[in-house]
Amino acid sequence: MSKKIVAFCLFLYIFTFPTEIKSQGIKDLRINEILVYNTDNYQDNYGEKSGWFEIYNSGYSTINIGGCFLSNDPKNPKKYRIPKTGEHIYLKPQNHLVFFAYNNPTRGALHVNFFIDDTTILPNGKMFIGIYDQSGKFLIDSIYYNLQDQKENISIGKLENTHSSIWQPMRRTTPNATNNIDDVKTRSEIYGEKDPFGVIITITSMSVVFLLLLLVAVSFKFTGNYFKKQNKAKQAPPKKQTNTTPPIQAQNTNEIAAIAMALHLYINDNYHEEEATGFHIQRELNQHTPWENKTLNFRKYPNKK
Amino acid sequence: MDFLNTILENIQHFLTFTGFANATPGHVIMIAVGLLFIYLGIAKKWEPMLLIPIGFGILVGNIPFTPGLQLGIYEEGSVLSYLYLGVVKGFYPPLIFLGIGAMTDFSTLISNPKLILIGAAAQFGIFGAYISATALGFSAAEAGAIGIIGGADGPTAIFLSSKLAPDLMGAIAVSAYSYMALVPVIQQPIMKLLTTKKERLIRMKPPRTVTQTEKIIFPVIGLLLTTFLVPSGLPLLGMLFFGNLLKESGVTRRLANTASNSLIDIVTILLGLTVGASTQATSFLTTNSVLIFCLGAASFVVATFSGILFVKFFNLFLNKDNKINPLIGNAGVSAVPDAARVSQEVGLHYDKTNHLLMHAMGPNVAGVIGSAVAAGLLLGFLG
Repeated sequence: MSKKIVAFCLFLYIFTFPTEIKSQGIKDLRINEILVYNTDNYQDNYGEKSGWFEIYNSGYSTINIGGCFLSNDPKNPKKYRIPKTGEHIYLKPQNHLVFFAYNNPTRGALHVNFFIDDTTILPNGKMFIGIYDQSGKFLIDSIYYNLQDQKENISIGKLENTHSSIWQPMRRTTPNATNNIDDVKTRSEIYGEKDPFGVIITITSMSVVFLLLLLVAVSFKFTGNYFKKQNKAKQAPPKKQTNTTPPIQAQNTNEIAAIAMALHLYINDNYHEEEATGFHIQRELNQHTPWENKTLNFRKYPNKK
Repeated sequence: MDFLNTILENIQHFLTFTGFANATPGHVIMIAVGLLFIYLGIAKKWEPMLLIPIGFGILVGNIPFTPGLQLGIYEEGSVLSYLYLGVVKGFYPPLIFLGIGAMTDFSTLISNPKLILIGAAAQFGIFGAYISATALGFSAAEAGAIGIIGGADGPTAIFLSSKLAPDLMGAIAVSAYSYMALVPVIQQPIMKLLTTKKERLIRMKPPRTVTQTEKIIFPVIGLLLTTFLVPSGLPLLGMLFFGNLLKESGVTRRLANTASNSLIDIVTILLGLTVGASTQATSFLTTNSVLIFCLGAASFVVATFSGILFVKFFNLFLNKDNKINPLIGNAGVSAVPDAARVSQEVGLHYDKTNHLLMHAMGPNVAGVIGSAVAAGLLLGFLG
């Protein structure tokens, strides 16, 4: 029996073993798009055209980014702390937020105190942008990029909703918007095109439904066998039948069905008394507890006498 | 004289607001449908718990009025629109599943696990309707929402249609609940058609006694197995198994009582009324609704066929003592407990001492799990 249990657990483990653990919350933040040289593109609310980078909430819950750190230097992760107050700190699911990088933090929370162009080149010759959690120790996402590859007014970005980490030049910049410029089809549209008659979905889904319920059935076959053996072991040897009372003749078969149903449902519950010759379903007299009994919770009127 | 004219003008103005002034033939037809539902619920006792709230909801939703007074279910800020949020956001169905879990006894299923597979086979109804709907020109998402009518499970149908095709939800919900009420009418002829007299007389072994430990283990293992494979079924399956654990644990009787009585009753009232009210003539009386009703009927028929035929097929591999009576195959469609009751009635018709109710409850509750899994799959693929 134990071998079967081990084999079953192993099967379950293999079947359900996760290949990738996905996080929820702050770890869903992604650096999504960067424009290093901005001479004729997106401008901030001061009319300034500067380098900018975009953060994207790839998850499905609103993230509070207040207190997180942004930096262009991996050795100094706490370079710019995102203020903990203001509307900008709540980044909704699948939403974007642009930070302007021209070293002017006095112009608001979305203006960082560093540049993303040629002022901080790392020893490996590359530039860096990173976002860190509130402790400044955990790097959530980062990008290293070559300055010589950057062109004026052409941003680089990652396609969303894919697991690709390849950065590529964008056909047009998309600040505060999705990088997927092309018309994105919904899953149902894709399935509608791939499987116009619904046969593939039918075969796949019915296979999964059968497999799943077969799995449940096999599981309970195992547990059932185990409990049956246990019950047999517990059962005492049968006593000799001494009762000579003739069997009761039921008026109709519905009564037998009702009694059988009641026996089946309640034989293991504590609603009845154990008796040698009968089965008696006992009505519970007091089903109330002080928690739900209103009369016990009402305040008594003061005695006026 | 001016005073009199002003009063007359006021009365004329008032009359433009009345239902009589705004009524259309569509409203009259829908009110007739609502009255029919109420009649069937009260006089024929066909699913009165569902048909009466839905029928009355249809009356409420089809009282003609001038738009802009924040009265209609689709008008932002109206009381009905707030009550309807539970349907739109999909939180009524999981609450109903909580209640279903708290009132369902899975012991027949646990004692004879092979009956679970009948619940899987009957889900062909869903996908039969899905294929038919795509052939009729519905989009994949709409076809998925329509197909779930074949699951014979109202809350599941509402849950999935609210996610995949909110515009069709009214027609899908009314169709699902109507056919659930008509389960005895639809299933009996098919059961008789597909079975021989010898098969109808098969006596099944009485289910063994299931220990409380097994009953407690069932919802826990059931949840882990089903939702690990189909996480998109979590809202329904999670609540179903949670409700069942409340019932079987033996230490949360008050919570189980609330879930299986007051809570499910409250949610059923709100769900039935608002689903009924969502069938406003202007949005409901369309060709699509007629097609959905036809597809719904077809899906119930296919589900019943597949459940019974699967049992017959399964019997080929079982020894003589373990044969399954094919009359319980129809119970694989959810429609708890009506479908199981139909098995019992038809069984008794041919042998007055052959009670199939307990056996039929196995595939019946397996059908609930199966349709929730199928809904989860459709949501995963098409959502």
